[in-house]
Amino acid sequence: MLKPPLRSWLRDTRVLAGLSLGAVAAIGVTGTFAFWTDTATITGQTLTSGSIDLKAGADAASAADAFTTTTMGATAMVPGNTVAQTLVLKNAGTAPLKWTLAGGLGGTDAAAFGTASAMLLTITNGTASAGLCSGSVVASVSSVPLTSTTTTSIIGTRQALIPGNGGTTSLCLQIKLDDNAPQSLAGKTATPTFTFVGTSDVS
Amino acid sequence: MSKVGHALDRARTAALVATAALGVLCLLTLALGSLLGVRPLLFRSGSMSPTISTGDIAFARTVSAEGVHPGDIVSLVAPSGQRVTHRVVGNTGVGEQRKLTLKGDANNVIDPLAYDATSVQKVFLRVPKLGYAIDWLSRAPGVYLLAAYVALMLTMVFRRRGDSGVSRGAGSQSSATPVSREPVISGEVRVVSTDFRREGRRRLHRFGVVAGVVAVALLITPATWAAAWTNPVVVAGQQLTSGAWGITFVAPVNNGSYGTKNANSTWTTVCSGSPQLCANVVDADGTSVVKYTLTGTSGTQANKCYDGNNFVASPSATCAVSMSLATGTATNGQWRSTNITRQNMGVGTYTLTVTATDANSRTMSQSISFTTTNT
Repeated sequence: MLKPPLRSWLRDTRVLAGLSLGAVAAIGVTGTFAFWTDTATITGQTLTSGSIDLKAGADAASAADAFTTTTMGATAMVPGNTVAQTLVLKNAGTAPLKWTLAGGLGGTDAAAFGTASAMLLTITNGTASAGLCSGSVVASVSSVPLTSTTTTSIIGTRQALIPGNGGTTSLCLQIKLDDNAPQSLAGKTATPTFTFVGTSDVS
Repeated sequence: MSKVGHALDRARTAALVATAALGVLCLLTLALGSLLGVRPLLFRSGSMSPTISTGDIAFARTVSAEGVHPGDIVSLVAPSGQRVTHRVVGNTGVGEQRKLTLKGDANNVIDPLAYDATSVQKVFLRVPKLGYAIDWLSRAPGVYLLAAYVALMLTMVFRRRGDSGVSRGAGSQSSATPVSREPVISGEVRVVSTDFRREGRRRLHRFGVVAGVVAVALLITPATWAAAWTNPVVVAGQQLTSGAWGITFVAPVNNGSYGTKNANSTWTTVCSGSPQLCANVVDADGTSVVKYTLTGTSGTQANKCYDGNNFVASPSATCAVSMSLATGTATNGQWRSTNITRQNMGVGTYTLTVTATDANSRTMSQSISFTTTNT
């Protein structure tokens, strides 16, 4: 049994009401200190009413959460040579999204190509044919040198809204070995990697 | 008081006791959490399902990365700035500098990059779906409900004794524990006059409502709530390997010193049987145009250069004279002058510069010096 002073103290409306505020404090503190954790999502489930799920592929039907290009490789690239890949971005979620792009070179000689600014990326809204992209340039990405870091921002401004539930955007990525690539880059190898990030922030 | 009134009274008291218990539980959890360095994690995606689903809250403790093992679920910040909570697949590295390979339970591939880390948050407890509740309470209409809750509670806290809307039970007397019951808010409410006390109460009520709204606004405003969710997709290119291109080698053949006065005999032996100037050029594209400039540095043709027909004052733009491919191929062959003769040159020292220029205007040149004599 509780002693009378404590018992009556616990019966006090003001004390009880004060203690009730603890729950709110916990919610506030959780909001401030909690880490929101989120990464390469497989399910479209999210906390808010809609969902976004960005996928990429050579066409809308085959778009997936990761995509390895089929026409963006070369074995004996010389200055002026280009490789290109048609890419369809698809939103398999229910809410609209905008996207940004980061990317760069990885592999053995990424640094050599990066330092020389020799691999030039151009993105258009057309399609790839014989290593060249048709169409007009997207987001001013025209002959932008790829760096040796695959997380370098290429398109930082959120791009065109892709409506939810099957909405798509078609792009063409073209990489050119600079006409003035130095001789020292002969026989070198690098692998480009790009990360398109969909965001629900469409403001 | 009527029966219905009593029933309502009891219900309100019970509700108040319940919320107070919840509050105490929350405060104890918070206190314990901050003592032990525990941070909550809100899951916004299902990459760890079915172990941890979207909307769950997990609790994690900061530990040294050295101490985590495959199978543990850890949380860390990826280079992109995103917080990733995935299961450990591999842990390599030296000392406390670790490289962690992670994989989401729902993902069929491991994360593309290994994460560098010295310390991580290790998940040890999961509460399903609590994140949804907190998320709901952090935005309209939930946040209004929360504000109303705070306002109501604050009004009760600051209510004067005897003004009770909620019964404290028939036997509850103000004189029993005067210290704990006396609201210690401001001098104002301690004024003995009844009128002033009533006025003070009203002010307190208003204060309670305003304070409640402000408190909720402060608690809920943190930017974390507004964070949009993101969803990345990686597009991997294939290997790009460069071939060989351009000019890699230009070497004028060193004619050395020429001893005979009017014959081209020595030249003949040097440049594959021809009495001319020559140079070897390697150009992977086979697109080079090769030219030479022959300049006298002393002797007969001092300060003059050869324009293909005559020696003219040096320097002169006309002194870049084309060579033609004599032996080998355009990608690797010997280039030769066409109409210079030993007799044109007389006696003296010369500098021979050979320049190859390819289709993309890349150039490479090389010079040598030689001497002619009449002995």
